[in-house]
Amino acid sequence: MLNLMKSEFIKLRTLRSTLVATFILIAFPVVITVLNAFFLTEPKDTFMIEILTTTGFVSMLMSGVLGVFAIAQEYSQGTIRITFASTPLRTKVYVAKAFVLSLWVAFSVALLQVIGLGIASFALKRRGFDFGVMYKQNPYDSAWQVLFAFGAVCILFALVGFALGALLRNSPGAISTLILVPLLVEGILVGLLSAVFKIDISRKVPFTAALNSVQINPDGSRWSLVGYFGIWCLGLSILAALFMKRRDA
Amino acid sequence: MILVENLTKRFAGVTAVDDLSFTVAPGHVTGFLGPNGSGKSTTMRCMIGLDHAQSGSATFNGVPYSKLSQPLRRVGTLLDAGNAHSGRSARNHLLWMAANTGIGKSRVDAVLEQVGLSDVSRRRVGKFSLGMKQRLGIASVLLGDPEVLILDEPVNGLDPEGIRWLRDLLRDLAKEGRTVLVSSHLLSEMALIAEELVVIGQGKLITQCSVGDFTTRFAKQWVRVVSPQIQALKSLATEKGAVGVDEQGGVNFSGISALQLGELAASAGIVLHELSPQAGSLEDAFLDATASSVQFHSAQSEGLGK
Ligand SMILES: Nc1ncnc2c1ncn2[C@@H]1O[C@H](COP(=O)(O)OP(=O)(O)OP(=O)(O)O)[C@@H](O)[C@H]1O
Ligand SMILES: [Mg+2]
Repeated sequence: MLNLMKSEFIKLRTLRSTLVATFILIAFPVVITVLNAFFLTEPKDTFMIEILTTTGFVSMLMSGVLGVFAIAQEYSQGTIRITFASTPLRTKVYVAKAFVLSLWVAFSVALLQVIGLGIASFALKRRGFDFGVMYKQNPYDSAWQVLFAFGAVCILFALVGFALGALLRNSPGAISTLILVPLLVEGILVGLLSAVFKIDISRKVPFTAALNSVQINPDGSRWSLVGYFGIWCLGLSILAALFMKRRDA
Repeated sequence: MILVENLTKRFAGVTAVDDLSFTVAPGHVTGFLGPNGSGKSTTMRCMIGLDHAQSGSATFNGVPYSKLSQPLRRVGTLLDAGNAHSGRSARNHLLWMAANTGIGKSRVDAVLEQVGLSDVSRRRVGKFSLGMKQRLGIASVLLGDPEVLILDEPVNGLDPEGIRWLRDLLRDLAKEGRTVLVSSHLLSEMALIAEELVVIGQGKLITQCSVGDFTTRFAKQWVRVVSPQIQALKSLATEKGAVGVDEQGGVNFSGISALQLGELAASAGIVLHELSPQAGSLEDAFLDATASSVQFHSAQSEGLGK
């Protein structure tokens, strides 16, 4: 298993496409957060976290894109045949890939938070705001929880992307699904159902729950929202792993 | 030793491999021949478990591929020009394969050297020519130093120098006691590389035999005769049941041996300018053997009965 994970790590590390996606994942929220820390006229004590996690939607999508790349490119380039020839137990391959991907994303998110918040807090101090980045006003929640939830959601996005990539086997299709469902499909579905049937599923759609869980004041308990998204992710992953096992490579 | 037994693989509507059985013995190169679409690649994918066969099995020294531990060290496979990612360098491609099986970096550099890609090992595979990709594929087969090698059309895209190099390589590997199965539709090439042939058509076995046997069994044989009294000889031979066809100032006789013709001519006092036994090429034999699937059955039972 360790050899397998090492090999999956080399695959991620040696492709320009995954490196670029990782760079965007880290750089986008960092740049926006740092710019705000330097130039926003009246910063509040919560805004650094807020900016980091809202611009972090890009990071979530990029995590998903990484997940798609990790498997769909293997199919489109044919390397999946070598992968399965080296490790005939496909479920093992799925688990190893998912694990390495999760670690990769977790490390990237940690890096973006350390760099982004580090530079931001330095900037705020220089400008004479003493509260730094970690706000203390809200007794119900803490900045740490937001940051951890953000990391968890990024990992789950990556795993969802991975499952979609394994099911659809082509990058454009899986990436479109990954972007359209949270940005469009869920909203339309919620609106349609509540307008036509007076049914409110706004709290049952997975991506909305995921995005909600990284708000400073989420609508519902933060970790049950993350958990709910996690259950969807797990279901999709099991389906994808089963398909991967049964289909011809 | 590879043993394929009653392998059947159907895709929606197409039976690509149909109850196929054959063996590949160590010690010499075995050619896997068949026209386009006859199921060679599909058979190879089924053998290593990439495609799931509906029935039948393939074993490597008695063990199915999925039960091999560290399969890359036991069976090296080349499919579709190596299946390398176009965005990765050749060396990185081999490095992830090596890491997977716990093979060291020095072995990666050694096989790159062996296939002549050392100088370009850090270039992206997307920039490689087809021949270079084949060489990389061959490097990946050699990586685990396996005792069984399966190569799908490895000659594709290689230049004459590359073909000769591959031929020597495969023969040497076979001589070391390894089991080598090579598919191709380039028969002339196969005749030089392989000693044994497994010939399939439309997913079914046509025959498994040595290259020599194959040519004798399937290639046309005739005797070419040039003579000033050819018409006389022709009528004599026809009486004996032979068929003569005029061609390029001579006559090609079939259904009669050179020996018989010579004696016939001598007894009738006919002067001969040329009397030469001829055989069709392996190419012709192959085309004949795979010409129609009706022929397959008789040829198959003949082959198995001997
Ligand atoms: N994934 C697939 N789905 C459907 N049909 C397939 C698939 N793969 C192969 N086939 C069909 O199976 C048959 C055998 O194909 P295969 O590629 O094994 O032949 P081949 O002998 O390797 O041919 P070639 O000499 O052209 O490489 C063909 O009719 C092909 O159309
Ligand atoms: Mg083929």
